[in-house]
Amino acid sequence: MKSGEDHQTVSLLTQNIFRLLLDAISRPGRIYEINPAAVGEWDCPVPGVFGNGDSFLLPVLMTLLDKEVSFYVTGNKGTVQEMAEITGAHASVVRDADFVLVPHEAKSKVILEAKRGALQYPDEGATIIFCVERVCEGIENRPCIRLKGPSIADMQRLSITGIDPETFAHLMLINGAFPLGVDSFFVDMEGRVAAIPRSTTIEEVKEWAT
Amino acid sequence: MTLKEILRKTFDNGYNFAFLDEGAKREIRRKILKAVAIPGYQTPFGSRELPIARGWGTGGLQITLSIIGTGDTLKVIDQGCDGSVNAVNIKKFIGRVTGVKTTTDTNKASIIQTRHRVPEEIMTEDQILILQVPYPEALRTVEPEETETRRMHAEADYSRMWLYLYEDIVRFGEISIGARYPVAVNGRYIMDPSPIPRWDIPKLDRADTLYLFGAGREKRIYAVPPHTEVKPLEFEDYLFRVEDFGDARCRRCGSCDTFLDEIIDDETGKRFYQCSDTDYCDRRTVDGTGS
Repeated sequence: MKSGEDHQTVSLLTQNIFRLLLDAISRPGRIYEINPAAVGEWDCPVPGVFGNGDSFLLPVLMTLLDKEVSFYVTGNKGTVQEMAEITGAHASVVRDADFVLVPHEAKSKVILEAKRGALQYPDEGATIIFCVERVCEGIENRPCIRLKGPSIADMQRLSITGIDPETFAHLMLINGAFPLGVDSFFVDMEGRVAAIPRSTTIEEVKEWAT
Repeated sequence: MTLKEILRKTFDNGYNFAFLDEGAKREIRRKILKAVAIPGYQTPFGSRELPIARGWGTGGLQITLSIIGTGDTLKVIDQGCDGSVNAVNIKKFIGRVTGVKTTTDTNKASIIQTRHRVPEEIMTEDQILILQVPYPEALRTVEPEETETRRMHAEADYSRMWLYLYEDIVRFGEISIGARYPVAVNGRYIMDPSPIPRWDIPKLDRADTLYLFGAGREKRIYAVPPHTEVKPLEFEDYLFRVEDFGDARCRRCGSCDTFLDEIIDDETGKRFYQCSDTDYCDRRTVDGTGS
């Protein structure tokens, strides 16, 4: 990323990813896909900090994180230093972190301690990024969650695999006192993204297959 | 123009793509995501210096520059008009620092930046409307201090706003607010919809489109996500109503179901009415759907 042109390429890629995140948070539970070709052109190392299959995570982090914000990674501590170097963001304890990353299959209990913002500044609530195996539109009679609330016309079904099944119970608890809460993005191994902002109510959790 | 040429061109100009530096865009983007997650809440952001003066659409401009990409088609309007100086210059500026296509056709635009109007055409879920906001705080009329209005929003303590509306009815027989009519978003936050006429307020309610509001001078970003309830404040016995133009029709396209501007001829003193949304009016005139 030394020459001006590479810098511009990164600029366009992060714009692309941001629009996808904006679409996702504007329409909770709907699936949006990161174009793998776009990520392939990414001219910087993709270390796969959370193991193989998380190559779509780095572009998302590069889009959102920089030296103005702090982050916390649950579980795998080996990645913290690398994350800080790549994004410029600084590591912090979970209760102060602007972004909390929950790697693939990690226990999500720690998100209960994440910042939920103050009534006067609810935007200070954390953003949680979950790396999951797969997100897809929920199908009836399959394990899925039902989402309701503003930004959803009627009801939206969402199915997520490769996530701690307790996660949704935690999110319901955390986001129970709107406008306080956290906003969540789910990034899967094939670059699909879905979001659940704090304004969304998770209505039903059926039996979960991991 | 190919992608490479656009990049080369903006880089040769000495500007980053979309003018703002990447750090500024990242911060504004983070704030936009929070604004969408908390419908109607005013998210503070670090408003940047731009080559136009504060108060001339810098909030809207910063949102547009932070979200726009090479695949977008941009439309900019000022009071519904594509041809006014402010709109034309903002559009030229964004075009120059991004190389995006521009249009006046509401249906062809993916991003529309606007001052004080929502287009007549019903917008789709593939479009984003960005509104320029001079005064983001709906409660400022009843409370001058920012810390106090912030407390009032925090506690949803809106009694003084209701009292203000009641007093307005006592004085004038109805709520006399024209533009900037206060609305309740998602049953939680009272929000200033920017100085759009009452006519446009129903278009915000449960729309397919994402609405983003930017106040550059006041350093606030807020949002109405798609399918979100937006209700104008009203009393059971004094209901909200939109402007009534009586029998007036647009003198160009003959429309009687659009928001009309009243134009007075300086010499004859005669009054005319004309659609405020010039693109809508132009297209009706061209396809002959007008009378």
